Amino acid sequence: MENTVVHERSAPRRSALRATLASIGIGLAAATSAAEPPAPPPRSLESLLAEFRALPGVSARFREERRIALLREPLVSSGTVYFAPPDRLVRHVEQPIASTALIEGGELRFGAAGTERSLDLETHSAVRGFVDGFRLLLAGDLAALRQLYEVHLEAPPGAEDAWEVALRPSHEPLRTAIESIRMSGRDRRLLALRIRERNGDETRMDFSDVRTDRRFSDAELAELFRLPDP
Amino acid sequence: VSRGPLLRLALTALVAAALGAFTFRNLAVTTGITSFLSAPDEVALAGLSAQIADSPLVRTMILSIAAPDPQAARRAAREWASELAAHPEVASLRVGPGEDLAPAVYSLYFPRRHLFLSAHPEGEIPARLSDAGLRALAVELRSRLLLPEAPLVRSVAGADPILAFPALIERFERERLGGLAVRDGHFVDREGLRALLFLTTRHSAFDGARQAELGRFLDQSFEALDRRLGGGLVLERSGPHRFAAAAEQRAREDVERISLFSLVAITAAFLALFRPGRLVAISSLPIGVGLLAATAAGLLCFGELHAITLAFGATLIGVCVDYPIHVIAHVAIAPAKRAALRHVRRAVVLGALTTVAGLAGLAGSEVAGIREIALFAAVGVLAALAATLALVPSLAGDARPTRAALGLVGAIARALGGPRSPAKLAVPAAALLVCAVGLPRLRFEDDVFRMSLPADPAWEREDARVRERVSRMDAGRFVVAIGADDEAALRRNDAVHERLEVARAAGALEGFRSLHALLWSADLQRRNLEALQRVPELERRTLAALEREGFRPEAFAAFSPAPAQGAPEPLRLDELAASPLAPMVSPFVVRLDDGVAILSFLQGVRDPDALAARLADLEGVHYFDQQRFLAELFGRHRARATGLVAAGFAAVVALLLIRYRSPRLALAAALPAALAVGATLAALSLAGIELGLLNVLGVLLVLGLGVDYAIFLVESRGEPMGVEAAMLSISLGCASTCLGFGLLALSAFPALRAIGLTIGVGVLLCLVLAPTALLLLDARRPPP
Repeated sequence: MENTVVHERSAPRRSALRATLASIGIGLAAATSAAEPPAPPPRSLESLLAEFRALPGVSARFREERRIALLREPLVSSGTVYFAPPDRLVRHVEQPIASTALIEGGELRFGAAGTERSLDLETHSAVRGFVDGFRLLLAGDLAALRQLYEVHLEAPPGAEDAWEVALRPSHEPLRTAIESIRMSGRDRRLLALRIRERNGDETRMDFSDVRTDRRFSDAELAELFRLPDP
Repeated sequence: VSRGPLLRLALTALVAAALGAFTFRNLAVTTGITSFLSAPDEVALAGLSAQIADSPLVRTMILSIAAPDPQAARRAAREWASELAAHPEVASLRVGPGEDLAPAVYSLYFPRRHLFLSAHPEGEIPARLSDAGLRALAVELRSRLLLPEAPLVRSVAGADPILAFPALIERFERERLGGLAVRDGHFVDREGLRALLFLTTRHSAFDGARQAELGRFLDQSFEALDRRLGGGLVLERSGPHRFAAAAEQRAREDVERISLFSLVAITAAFLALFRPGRLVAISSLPIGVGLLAATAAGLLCFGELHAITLAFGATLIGVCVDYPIHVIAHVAIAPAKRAALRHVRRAVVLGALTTVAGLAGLAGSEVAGIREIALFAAVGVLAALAATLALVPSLAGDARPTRAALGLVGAIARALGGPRSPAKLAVPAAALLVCAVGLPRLRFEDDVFRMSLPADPAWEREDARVRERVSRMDAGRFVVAIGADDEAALRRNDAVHERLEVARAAGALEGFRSLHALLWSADLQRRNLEALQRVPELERRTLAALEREGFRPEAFAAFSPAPAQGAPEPLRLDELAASPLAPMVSPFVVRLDDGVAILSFLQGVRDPDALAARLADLEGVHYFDQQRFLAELFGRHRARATGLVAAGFAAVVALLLIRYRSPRLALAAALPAALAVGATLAALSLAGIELGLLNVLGVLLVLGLGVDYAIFLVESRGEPMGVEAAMLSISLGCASTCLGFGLLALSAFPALRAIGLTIGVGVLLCLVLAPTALLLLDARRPPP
């Protein structure tokens, strides 16, 4: 709520800047991929989420680094992530061990090395905390986000179209496990995700090759949003 | 009316009042099926079948709510649930897993995680915790930290680096939900579109009256909910409740409609033949006395009566309606009433004794319930006989025939008069021909489910759709492990699980759900701990293996495998059943009178016999197909009942031989009934009707009536107008039986139809074939 207020204060300023940029013919499109239509910078959390909600689909490469107290060195993995609205998210890990995780509805299914398992996110809130913030942001589902977290939108200094959404779990048992989730990006592109846990563990995902105009054909939906055959 | 009859009437009323008072005070009715079974296995499985029918599993109906959007469906479920829970017939209502489930799983299982390591601990635990096994576990732990489940694994890995608890959770995930998912704390279908509620009724799902009332409440309250929420809600449901309610209502309507029609028709028929009108009431007195005496005697002997005894025994006592009719007909028609009464008394006494002799066959049964029926009916018949002899002759002394009765008597006299001719032989010859053609074609159908009212196909499809949303297990097909106590049953269930795993791997079945996913026997849990304690230097070797994979050994300080002191106690069934996991456990467990049964539900059994063979050597374990079991049970009952009816008929023939001391006369009295029964079964068979237990039970009544009819004729043949009076009474008795029972043949209910058809056709043939007795006699000479 505090951040919403902050954001409301800054909105007229950004709006004025956007008008200025538009007037001199430098659209925000210049800052993003040429393939993407120009988009106005978000005015508020609601408008940012509304823009995500309007996306036909998302794909991105990712590199994840997990710093875990159990391990001496961070765990690093990389792969591709796809999101098809309203609620399908799949993560194909390529390195160091191939695996796939598919979230559909409220169920998480994942497979690696010929095995397949599933978890109901409703009953595994710790796991849910790691996947739902990301998915709900891409889905633009602000109401669902607010059911689980206190949601703040922050505008980092530097780039006009940059944003950062900070989530703090508002209920147990999620609050016991997770301290904060921060998702940052520019325009309608999510570029980084950072999860800090209460026990000090931290996960950071950096996204590249972000495409927010993915329209998945039926064949792509069938091919990408599934677990590999065991 | 003189003082004598009034005195007798008063005395009878006094006795009836005493019997009625005794019955009212002591009436206790049981419905347990075990009293109608004999073999111990049969008793155990049928008892189990009956208890399953009354278990929470069957008493639970599934309500599925669809709405224009899933959130609206869940909201509707939430609102409706609070309303439903207040209904007195609702024992429990579940809309979601409950927030206390996850903490309960942790508190029950995490301390005991090492008790659930392996179903084959002696072999698997040493291999799993060898140096190579620990290396593999360390690699697995590292790779699982890359997966989405990592938060879960990390939260327990410090104390559980050998991943015992995550393995348990995986089993739960497979078992807990079946086809269900959870959204916002609500059970929903796999697609997340429909909200699902599980409503368990307080009374049996087959308690038609209560379930009909609940069904009306569900319909009305859902309509109101739909209106409140703006419309668009769709309710679908699964469970036997509404099928049972509809079947009972339909059966009751059938019986009420037919009974009313019968009562009016019988009264009209009686009044058409005899006057004064009070004779209708007088003729019903003996049956009333018989029923009261039978009930009182049954309660005195057995303490309680089975519902089947009351229903079927009362039907058998129904043969006694002929006794007063026979007396009244003779009093009304015979010119010499005193002589006629002598003949009539002999006839009804012999008729009653042959009926009791027939029941003696049932008394020889090894099945307690059948013996109860025999005693009940025998006492009822004798009491009805006593009431007939004591009351009817004096109270019906002024009986007189109507003009219609006299016309009928004339017609009977013309038909029966004259010498023996080929035309008179035509009827028994035709019956013999029907027997010869039809009896070899007898076909039997013992599927009890086909005796029920055929369900509405739309309801059946809806039921299947909703069940599919929850579980794909086959209905009424499971493996049951029976033990004297929880531990014995759980040990057997451990063995069942192992066999079913092998069967699934071999493709003998597609899948199964077992309590084994949640609970093992205490024995198996202890063996796990012992096997773990035998592993040498487990802690040191585990930490070394973890360090080699890049883990920090100090992060696993909480790892303390298999402490010799303070080891956790095995998890017990009662502890689990008292926890928030109870709803997951209860479908698998059926408490028996003398033990406990644990069920494993099956899916896609390819060859039931082969699966049964895989389990055959496990003591106390049975493959159970409810429909098949009940069909076999009813088949055995049918065979037993056929034998008992045959034995009873042999006793009747013996009694007739004693009475008449003449095979010819005995044959004359017995043959029409035998022919009528044979022709009835043959005719039903030729009509394409498959016969079952209920037809055989109907035959017992037909035999009793057929023998009575022939006896009435044989006993009346020396009396002036005796044969004509006997035929008149037989005709009225036949009409009354046909109207009372035979009209059930018009019922939509297959069970009622089977009884009605057998009795209706049988008793008509008894009437038509009764004069055959006269053909076997030399002349109208009085019997010895």
